[in-house]
Amino acid sequence: MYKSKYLLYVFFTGLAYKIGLVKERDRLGQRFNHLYKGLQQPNKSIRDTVCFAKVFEAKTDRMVETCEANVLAAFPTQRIPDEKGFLTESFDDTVSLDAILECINNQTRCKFNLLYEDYVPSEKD
Amino acid sequence: MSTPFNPVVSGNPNFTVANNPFDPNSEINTEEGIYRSLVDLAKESVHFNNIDSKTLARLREKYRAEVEEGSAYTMEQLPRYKLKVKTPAQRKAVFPAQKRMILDFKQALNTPLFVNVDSKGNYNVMEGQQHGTSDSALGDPNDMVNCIVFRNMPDWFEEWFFLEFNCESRTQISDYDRIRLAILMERKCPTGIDEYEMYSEKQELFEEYGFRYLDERETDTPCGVSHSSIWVVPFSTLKEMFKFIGSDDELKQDPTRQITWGFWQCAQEYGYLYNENVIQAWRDLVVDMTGQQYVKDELTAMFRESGRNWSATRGPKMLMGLLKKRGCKDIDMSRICNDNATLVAEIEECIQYSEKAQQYV
Repeated sequence: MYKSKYLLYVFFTGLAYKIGLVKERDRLGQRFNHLYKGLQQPNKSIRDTVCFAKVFEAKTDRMVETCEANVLAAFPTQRIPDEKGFLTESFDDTVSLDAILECINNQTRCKFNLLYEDYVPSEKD
Repeated sequence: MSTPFNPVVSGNPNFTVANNPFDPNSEINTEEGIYRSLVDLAKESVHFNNIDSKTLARLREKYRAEVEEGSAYTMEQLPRYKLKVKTPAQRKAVFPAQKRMILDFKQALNTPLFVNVDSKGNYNVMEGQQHGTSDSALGDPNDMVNCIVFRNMPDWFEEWFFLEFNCESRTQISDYDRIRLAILMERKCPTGIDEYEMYSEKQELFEEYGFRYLDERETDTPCGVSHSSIWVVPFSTLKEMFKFIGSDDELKQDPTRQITWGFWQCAQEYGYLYNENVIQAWRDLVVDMTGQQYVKDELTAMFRESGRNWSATRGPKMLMGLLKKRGCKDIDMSRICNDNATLVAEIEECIQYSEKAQQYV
């Protein structure tokens, strides 16, 4: 429906959510594998509980960028810091999917279309 | 529809009397027990009136009397180059209006410069005067500058001195406030110089439509402006722009950036300032770009896709081209490009071959 090159995703780690964007649609599967590896789970069965809870396409790439930045800014205290203390794109488990989606919906200037829901790309991707 | 009981709030509602340092009742003045406005203080300031040699002699005596040993300072004429210059980062803050206004203003008043000599022998221009009077970038380095020079003073001396004697450099008083002070003082003592009057009129527009000029670079404050080139925008353009943005619920949530007034100046130059279709089309495009603060980034990305760099003159023309492509029929690109066929083709090419531009068309 929309023609943005970028996609906005809400990634579910099995415990909490993480927001991010991919700059090329074809790389969504690659990003999933990267995120999954980043979880460093010893048991491969966990892969079944990990998914892209939502993936959106937008009217323009800028809308994806702005929305991601605004959602991150909306949860400054609920984001997990990295080793150096910088806030990452990962939320703690107090942030629900509904809260993230409400924040995305509040970005009235950003026109989105839901592309996938509970999406798990194949391992080959 | 608005009624007298439910007025439309123009501009950023946060810019109110509460944060106006020139209102004697505002928090900034009352919280530290400072109940008088800066203008009131300025009226009492020894720097307010032209200082003739007789007054200067009297002041010298007064200052001497206030210092125990009577020789804390000397009156000297120093060449400007001898004064410690600002760092490049500080110099960036000197914008044209400030340069003209404060420099001329203080020179006209013949205000001597306060200088503190540090242990390394640097002639440090004391706090609160840096921008206007001393920097070598602002005048001939060989100019002789009237200075009151302090030597061998304790570390806290500069801060203490100006907190005591200089109303300009009180805590929280920014360059912006200093300009306002200068303007308000000019209003009280009209010089007949058009340039001053024009600045004061533009300044009034900021107040009227709820905008503010802020010191921070690239501020994110709604209706905050931080780029100095706003002062060279014609009055009529500025008025229309502030009026439109200040009353638009979407746009007034954004900081206002250079490309915004760049577009409005372009619109005025080519006769579209009062064309509602063009202005409305611009507004829709800006909202599609998710705000004024992202317009330059988007245009830059479009230029790069066709191997070009950002240009402050080409940017607004590119915006006009995009509006035309989005269906704004009132725009004549030949007129925008001064009948320069090459430029028309260049913009056409930028839009056609940029994937990003195509997302907005």
